[in-house]
Amino acid sequence: MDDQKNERTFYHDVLNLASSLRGISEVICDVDAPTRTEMLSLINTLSETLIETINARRLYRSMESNDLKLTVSLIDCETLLSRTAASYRKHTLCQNKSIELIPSEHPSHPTPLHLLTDKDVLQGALGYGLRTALETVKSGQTITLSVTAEDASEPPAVLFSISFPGSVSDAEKQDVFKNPNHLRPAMTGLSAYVFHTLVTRYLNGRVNWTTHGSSLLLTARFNQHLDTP
Amino acid sequence: MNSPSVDERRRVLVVDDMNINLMVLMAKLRHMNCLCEGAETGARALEILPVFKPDIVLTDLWMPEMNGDVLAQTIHAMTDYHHLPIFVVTADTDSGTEFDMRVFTGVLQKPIDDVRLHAVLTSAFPTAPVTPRV
Repeated sequence: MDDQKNERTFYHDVLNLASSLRGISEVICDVDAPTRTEMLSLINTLSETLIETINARRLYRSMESNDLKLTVSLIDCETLLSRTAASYRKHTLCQNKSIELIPSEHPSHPTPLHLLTDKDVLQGALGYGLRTALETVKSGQTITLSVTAEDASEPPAVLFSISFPGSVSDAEKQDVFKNPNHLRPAMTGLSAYVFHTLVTRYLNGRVNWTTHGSSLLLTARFNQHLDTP
Repeated sequence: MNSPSVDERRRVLVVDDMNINLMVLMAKLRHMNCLCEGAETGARALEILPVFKPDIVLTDLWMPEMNGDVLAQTIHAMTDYHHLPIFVVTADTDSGTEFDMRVFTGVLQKPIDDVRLHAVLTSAFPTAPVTPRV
């Protein structure tokens, strides 16, 4: 996607969110008590989404200008995944959709499951992966997240998985993870592209996607110790 | 405060895939004494249309499965709704490059301004009495 279109999408999203906030502030005094309670909760949701939208844009800009600096530390993978899920559960994209986290139950790896990487960039990448799923699924559907140790691999690796209902047409397959030239998101959209770029270019991980009947599986695999690219 | 009203309970169908936007716009319209129905998809709007019989439709542009321009074309292709006023509500300032905006009666740009909303409703109901918002 060229930067002009990307910027247009960003301004559209920000203006949309800000408009909703202003709209609520204009009508909240005139609505009944249950609606007012719901609107107060929505103010929080919209504010969180607005902040997330701006942060995502900053991350994207840094990524595209090769200006992203990594700060490596040992992170707890499940905690990071849980935080990512929690932030998107409040996102307007998540309305009437569910995000479930499957706890890691692998008996052979130590708990918690650790990874040496950049926490913020990984959370940003996982966020874009989750966003890809949220943009794909329909109202009422569920996205499942998990992280597992790949003990048998050498060196040891960690696999983040995002499973969700959806499909990719034959015509779209070659465009998954490519820089898109249209505004509408999902597997061939901007979120999938940023997810792929952050994981592969900055975090030295591997991204894969597979389809199983009517569901999609998006994965990011990392060696447990980051080899800085 | 005087209750601002555009007319005698005009019927407005609001279409937006974001529930928050539906809630806010419908609250504004009710405050202007309109009768409202909301739909989160174009398909749902088409179901509501013959039952609710709106005087005007306000629709989002970007929506999954059926965008606002396709919804407008579909409605205008129906015998009873050739001339139903359909306004697009959008935060996109450059929609004309990707959508055929000619299918819409007009554009209501976000953030929605009460004066502009009032003007849109008035233009759709030119014979109705108008009480400006106080």
